[in-house]
Amino acid sequence: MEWFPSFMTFALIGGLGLALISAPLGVFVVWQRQSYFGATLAHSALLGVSIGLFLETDLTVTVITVSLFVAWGIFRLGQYKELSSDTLLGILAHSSLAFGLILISLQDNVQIDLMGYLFGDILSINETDLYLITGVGLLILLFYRFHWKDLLNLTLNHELAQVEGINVKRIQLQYVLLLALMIALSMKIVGVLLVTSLLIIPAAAARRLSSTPEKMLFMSILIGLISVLLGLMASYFADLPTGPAIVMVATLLFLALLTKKAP
Amino acid sequence: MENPSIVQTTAPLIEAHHITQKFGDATVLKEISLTLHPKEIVTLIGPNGAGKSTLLKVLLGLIEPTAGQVIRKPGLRIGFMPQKIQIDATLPMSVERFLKLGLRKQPAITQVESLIPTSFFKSMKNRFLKGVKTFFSTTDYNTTAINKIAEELNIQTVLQQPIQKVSGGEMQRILLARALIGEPELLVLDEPVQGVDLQGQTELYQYINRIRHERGYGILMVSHDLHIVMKNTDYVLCLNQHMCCSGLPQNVSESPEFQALFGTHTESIAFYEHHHDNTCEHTHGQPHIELKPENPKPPGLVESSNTSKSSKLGKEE
Repeated sequence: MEWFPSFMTFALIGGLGLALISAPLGVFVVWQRQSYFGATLAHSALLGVSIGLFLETDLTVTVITVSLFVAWGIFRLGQYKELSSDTLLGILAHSSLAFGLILISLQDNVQIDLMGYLFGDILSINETDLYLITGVGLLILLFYRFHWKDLLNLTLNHELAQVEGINVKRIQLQYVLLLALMIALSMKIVGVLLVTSLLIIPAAAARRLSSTPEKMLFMSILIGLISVLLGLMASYFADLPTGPAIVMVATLLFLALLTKKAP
Repeated sequence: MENPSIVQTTAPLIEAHHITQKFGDATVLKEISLTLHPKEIVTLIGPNGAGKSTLLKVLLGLIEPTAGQVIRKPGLRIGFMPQKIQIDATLPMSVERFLKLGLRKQPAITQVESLIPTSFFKSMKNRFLKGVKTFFSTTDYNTTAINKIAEELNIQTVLQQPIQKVSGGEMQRILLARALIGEPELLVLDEPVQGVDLQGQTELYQYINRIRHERGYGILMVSHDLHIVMKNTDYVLCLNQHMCCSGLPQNVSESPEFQALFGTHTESIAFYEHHHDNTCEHTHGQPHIELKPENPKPPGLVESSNTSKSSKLGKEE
């Protein structure tokens, strides 16, 4: 494969791995109407970057830590009903983005490529990222193995699920933390502003092809993989920015499937 | 709070003692006590905002009461029928699957491996599907229970339909079926006949009444529909934040407190003897109707119960 440059290998494996882990979380984001929650986590990931730069800690670790903390915070705040979660998430998303940008601008000696964080830079994927993606993938696999039915039940109705003996809070928190992990990892590839699209567009497109939750899960994995593959190719051959190219392919697939009637 | 009409030999399924619930400064429930035994139907009635749903949540353990105690029978299996349920249209789910998800964990029927030789690809496909099913713990449950309940509630025809597409009346029956599918000991129904036409309401109540005798369920129910409910209920709790009145249906319906809340036009249950046995007096701590404390029979409330009736009629399918 001479035409296949080696720097693309990491990008390809990383991108496909990300498609694999984002689809299972994405279907629940769609079913539970939580796309704004994902967006908020993504915005807070940028805050993680700026905190990492400020404290001069490892960026990946800092971003993951901040994302997990923010996810936990949103989860806890969501228990109080005073603020509608929509408003709460809006405040958090934009305040963390603003705070992150201010923190970055305060550091004169740091030269960072802000565009890379906002729109992703798939070529920056390194070996550590691949290990992390694999690790999160295994966690998700385990989680779904034991809690798939519980997750479906609590998606249907929290109270009903709890009365039937499901520990709703614990499972929802675990799910939210996995989501934060996935978003922190995918920031590198598609960027802060496009992370949510990786979660919801494949899932939304898969809806048209699915009659059961499991089918929708597999279809959304498939659509995610195709989007990453075609997106990367488009990016390589037509010299397009990678993250937007992936999202574009996913959107085209979604539009193509819109013409089909949902079963 | 013993029910005098039934001699109780069994232990109660659930007991609540002096439940008080406050949200911030607002007292939603004040000193509520009740006991529910197997085969017993207890109905909570009261105007909007009386705290009926809150009391239900406390009893179900969904919220911790500010004060008071709830004692459930150890290992109590509860079948809960929520008031309404909103399912996003993006979730592909048939009614049958919805019901299946309510099945309690039980050993799946081991299917006898077919001895007929199948093609290699077919057997590979079967194995893959089986693996997938095992992964998601969706191995074939005993679906006879679902079919039986679906038939009883007349929802077999909608089993394969997406759950988002069924009508309001069908949804109520589906939710009831879901509550029944886990073989509960206690059924908790939050306004079970909402959006069901009048004939359907009667049938639904008859069904509920029948299964409690057949299967010995205890039933706790919230309702607005005084007329139909009264006939089969063993015990009525009339709530308006505090326990306004309680007792046998006939006593409650005749009590001035009840009539103050709901008006006197309860002809269908007016045959009963007047009899006071409760603690609720007009001098009771706070006014019964907060909005119009000077008026013991607020016309607004009477009208509102009228309109809710007629709007239900208008909604008939």
